[in-house]
Amino acid sequence: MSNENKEKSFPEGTAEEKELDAVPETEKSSDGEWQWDAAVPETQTEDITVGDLKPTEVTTEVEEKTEEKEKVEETANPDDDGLCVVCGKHRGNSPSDLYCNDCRKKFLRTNYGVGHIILAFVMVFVAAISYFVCASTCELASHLTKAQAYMEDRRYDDAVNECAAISEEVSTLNTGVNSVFSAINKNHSAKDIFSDGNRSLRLVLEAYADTLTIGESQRTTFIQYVENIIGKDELNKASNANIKKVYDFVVEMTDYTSVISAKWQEYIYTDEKTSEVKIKYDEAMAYINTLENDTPAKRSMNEYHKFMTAYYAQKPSAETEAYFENAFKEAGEFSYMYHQSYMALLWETENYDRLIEITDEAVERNVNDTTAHYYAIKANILQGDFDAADARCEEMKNANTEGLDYYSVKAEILRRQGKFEECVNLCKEGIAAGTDAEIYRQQAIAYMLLEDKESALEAAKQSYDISIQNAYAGSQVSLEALNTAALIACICEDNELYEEIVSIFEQQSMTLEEAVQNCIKGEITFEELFMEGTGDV
Amino acid sequence: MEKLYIVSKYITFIGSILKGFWEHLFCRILGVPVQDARYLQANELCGHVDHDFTKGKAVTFLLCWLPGLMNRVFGYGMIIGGYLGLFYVQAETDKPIFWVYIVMLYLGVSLMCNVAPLYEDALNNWDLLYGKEQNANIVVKILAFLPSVYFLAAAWLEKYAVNLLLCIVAIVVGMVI
Repeated sequence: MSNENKEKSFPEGTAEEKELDAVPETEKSSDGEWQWDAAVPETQTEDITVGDLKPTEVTTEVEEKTEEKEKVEETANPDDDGLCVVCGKHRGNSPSDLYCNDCRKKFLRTNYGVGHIILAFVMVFVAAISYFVCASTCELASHLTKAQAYMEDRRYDDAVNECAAISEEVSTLNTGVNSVFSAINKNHSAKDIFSDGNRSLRLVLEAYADTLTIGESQRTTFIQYVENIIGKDELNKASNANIKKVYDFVVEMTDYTSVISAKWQEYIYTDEKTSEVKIKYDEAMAYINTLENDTPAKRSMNEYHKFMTAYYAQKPSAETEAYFENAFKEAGEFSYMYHQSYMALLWETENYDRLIEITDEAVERNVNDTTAHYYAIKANILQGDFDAADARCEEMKNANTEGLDYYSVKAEILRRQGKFEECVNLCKEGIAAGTDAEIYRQQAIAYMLLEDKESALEAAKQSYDISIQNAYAGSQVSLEALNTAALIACICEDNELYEEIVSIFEQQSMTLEEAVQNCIKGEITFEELFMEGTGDV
Repeated sequence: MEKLYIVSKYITFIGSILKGFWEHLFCRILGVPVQDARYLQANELCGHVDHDFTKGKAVTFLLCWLPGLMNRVFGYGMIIGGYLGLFYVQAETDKPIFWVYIVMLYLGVSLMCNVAPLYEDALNNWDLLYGKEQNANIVVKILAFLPSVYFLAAAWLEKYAVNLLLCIVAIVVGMVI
């Protein structure tokens, strides 16, 4: 029954009201409800008259219901004595199983403590910073995961590019964080707070080790990287076994080369009459034959020096190739270091069959080796195997999706197949993808073959301009671009451009290619020049 | 075992204090009286507050879930960032970020080792939802099943400091690999 009902059932001045008034305050609950267990025995009854005693049904009903409730509570939890666990008073109608209403109210407002509130605020700040650091670290880790996957697929260039992206990301982070610090403290000096991480550096090193070439600068850089990043002591750990193997070979090769090169250089001289660099072939060969050859590195280097001796002596290509082949084989598992030089040599000596074999090896070693793809495609074109060239071209695109070489070599294949319209359209795609002198050159040739001289001249000018800009930027000038532009300018009667290009050649004590000169003289047609034989200038 | 529990709570004291604070905060929000607000004390209440026994299903569930959720929200960034930075990216020791990662990892472990409710609260939640004499809605029972199992499992793991042990193992594995 509710309190409202109880009030209604006790008229003013009744015995119950007087009895309630007589009860000490401590035995009443805060809402005026009876404390049944405590109050009854101490009640003062002297001033209650017989007339006041009017038994009501309601009172009996309240008593009965309270008793029933207590019985139910006792059945539900026999250990519960109904008292507040803190103050020991009866809990009354408190919704808590443990506390009376007073204690409950007090405990609903228990203080947190200033220190705890401060800690919570600090942690909110720390968590915000942590999420920033975490997001940045996840970004780095994502690049790292990609780089690792590329390493497993032998896509070393892609792996190195991902590591480069890490460096870029770290640089951006450091710049941003330093600018924030500078805004807070003007005396703050910039520091590298974030770092690429050892794993990224190690990946670059592993990629370097697996794609290392015979060039002296590359070898020296590799040795420095290993010593700085891993350190000689750490190198002996099992996890560094692969790098150590390459490092040992390269160190031995470099040390040995530094010893023999000094002596070998003595056999090189410049012919005073012709200003040509020559070599005392027999003496140099005799010297090399006296050298140690107890390890693969030494044997390989000896053969390499024989190759260089034969090369300087301008011996027949078969001989120079044979020495290079020996150097390549003697290097054993490190023969990949010769791939780049060997491909260049075989291209020069026009040994296309062996060149294609070596390019296959190089691509197996490093899927991203676009140089190998390029040589293979060119060799296939020169051999007239356009299907193989086309297939290789697609491989090249997969190996380097952002590379522009695909467009120029594919355009060359299309041109050689007589698909001039397709060639022009592909060049347009290539031009949209990026700026490249060779793509414009191929487009210019295709336009000429389509007899669209105006477009051809425009494309040739673009090719020439880009080539010159590249030369100013430090890249090697494309002689093919200059020769082709000169030829097209001459045919299209753009004398200004033609003379400008010729003067550039003259400044360098060079002349236009013989095939170009023959075409200008009318000894061969433009179509013969670009559609037959080597199909290029 | 209680000693182990207390030691683990003291090792991860930042998380313990913060978990106690969140528990206290949500007790006040949900109208549950808190008798003892000492978050770090050498008994089974370490990292928790001594609050009244809850009888409502929703209040009990929320009180089991929300304080741990706060620690998780704070801790994920720290533990993931710290772990990745130290053991995956492998930050160089001479860079300031290395020490940032160390602090993040400790705070992350500290927070993530204090995400479970008190075992008694988890049991109470289970009893209120799946006890024999309870008549909770079947949809509520289904939705609350996995979290309730998680509360019990996590509270049990925390009771025997297994979560801290797992974190230590993960760190050792990260260091070795």
